[in-house]
Amino acid sequence: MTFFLFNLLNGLQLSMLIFLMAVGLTVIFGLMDILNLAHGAFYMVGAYFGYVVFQTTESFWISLLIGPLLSLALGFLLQYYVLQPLIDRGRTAHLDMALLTFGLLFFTIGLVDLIFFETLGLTFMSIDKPAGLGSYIDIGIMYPTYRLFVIALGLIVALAVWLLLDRTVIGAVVRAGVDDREMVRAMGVNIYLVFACVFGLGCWLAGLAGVVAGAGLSIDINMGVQILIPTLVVVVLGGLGSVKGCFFGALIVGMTETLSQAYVPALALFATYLLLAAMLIFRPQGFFGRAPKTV
Amino acid sequence: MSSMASQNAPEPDALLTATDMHTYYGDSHILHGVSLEVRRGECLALLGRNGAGKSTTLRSIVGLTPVRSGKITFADQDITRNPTHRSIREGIGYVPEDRGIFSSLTVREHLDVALWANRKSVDQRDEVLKLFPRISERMSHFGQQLSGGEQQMLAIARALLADPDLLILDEPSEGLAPILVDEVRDTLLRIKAGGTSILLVEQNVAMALALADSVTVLSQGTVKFTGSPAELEAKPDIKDTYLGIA
Repeated sequence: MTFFLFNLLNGLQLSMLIFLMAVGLTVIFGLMDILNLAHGAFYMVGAYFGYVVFQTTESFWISLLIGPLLSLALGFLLQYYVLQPLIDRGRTAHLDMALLTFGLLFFTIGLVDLIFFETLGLTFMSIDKPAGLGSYIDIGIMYPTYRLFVIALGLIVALAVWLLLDRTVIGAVVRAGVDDREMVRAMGVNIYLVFACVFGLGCWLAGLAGVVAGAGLSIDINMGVQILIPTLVVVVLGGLGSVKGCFFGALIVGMTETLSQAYVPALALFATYLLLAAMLIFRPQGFFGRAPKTV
Repeated sequence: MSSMASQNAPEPDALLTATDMHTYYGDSHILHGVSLEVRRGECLALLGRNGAGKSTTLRSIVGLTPVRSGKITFADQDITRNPTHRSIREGIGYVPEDRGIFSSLTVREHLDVALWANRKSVDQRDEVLKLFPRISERMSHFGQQLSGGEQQMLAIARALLADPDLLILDEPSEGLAPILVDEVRDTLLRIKAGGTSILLVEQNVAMALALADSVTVLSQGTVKFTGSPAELEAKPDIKDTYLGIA
């Protein structure tokens, strides 16, 4: 029972980390029809820049606050000055965007490697957990406090994203854009600015996940690619563009990865992909996917 | 000097002037030099058969399908290269052919987004909704729960929230029962009486002529006739060849 509870909480923690990544990816895809494979790069950027901020200030909280801002700025600029102009010139195919952003992911990995490893010689990097979140807490089992913090943070972000999308006029603009981008423009909305803001916000969440992971796990050159794969699975499971689906998809993937590792280690390597294949065969639009259109 | 200037300048009461518009979808040449003019306070009906280029003309004016060449002037400003949202904010309301109602937004959210985009207050909404009592009873309904007539009314109400000088409508009577067509017509007559100019594309010629002060007939992307409804009446060959009515 203790073992199960421990793994359940670990699964929940991983789920929340993946959710922070996937929610940006799915909203960007739903609204702009861009498959942003560079999302893993923004996760990396958050972690590495968070590390730099942490080294300078020695504060986890400042690093959590400032680290993701670089991801936000870069995401905004990428969408506004690179992706959108390409789309306007007719490069709208998913493959065009996937190839470009995939290239950007590896460019970022190379650049980070050049700076942090080749130049500065840093290998094992991590951000120290803040005082008070660095030890264990007794909740029936002794459980790392920091992991509970990650779970809480994920739930808060999920609630905030839901409130933003469901209850505000900005959220209504985004939902309208998922239904019919052209009509949103025809209502007087500067949709390019909305696109860039949403893209930046999604990248900010990826950066936030990066800092969080930088203190919980470790910071290394492969982290962006490693997180990208379960993230993509979540987006497919939940249905492209669906936040609700993204939340449940993240729970399923996080739990599957953690519990299969704990109970059936032989399955762990491919359990997630089994899930993905089954979904694509039986319900390719995902749990909450729908045909988005005006009525 | 002044006489020379007036020769080149558009008519003093012209609100929208489109001159020699050429528009393409990819490689196919859709509009071959379309020109039209909407005067202040008046309604121009743009008529023609399916595929004549009527919708493309409207989309070109609001920049959704930008012209490759030609010039569009609105309220004495060159809007040819404006992004769509800027033309809308400068005072053009656009109601597209499929009405453009969002299935996942409530009626209130449709109106909120339009108010937000055009920086208008709730007072503007309350003012506009006086024209649409049935819409105001359905504020919490989602777009997909509305009937065709209600969707059309919402699309018009939404376009009016920016307080436009010109309202552009693409076949507002399409798919509506005759009694609802009359309701849309009466609503548009009231909007016109309030001083808003209208550019109307219609298949329903009777409804269009009930509203129009002038008529432009399109066929295969070129203008075949421009004149008053009475002048159109006097040309049965135009009506027969390009509109399919005698």
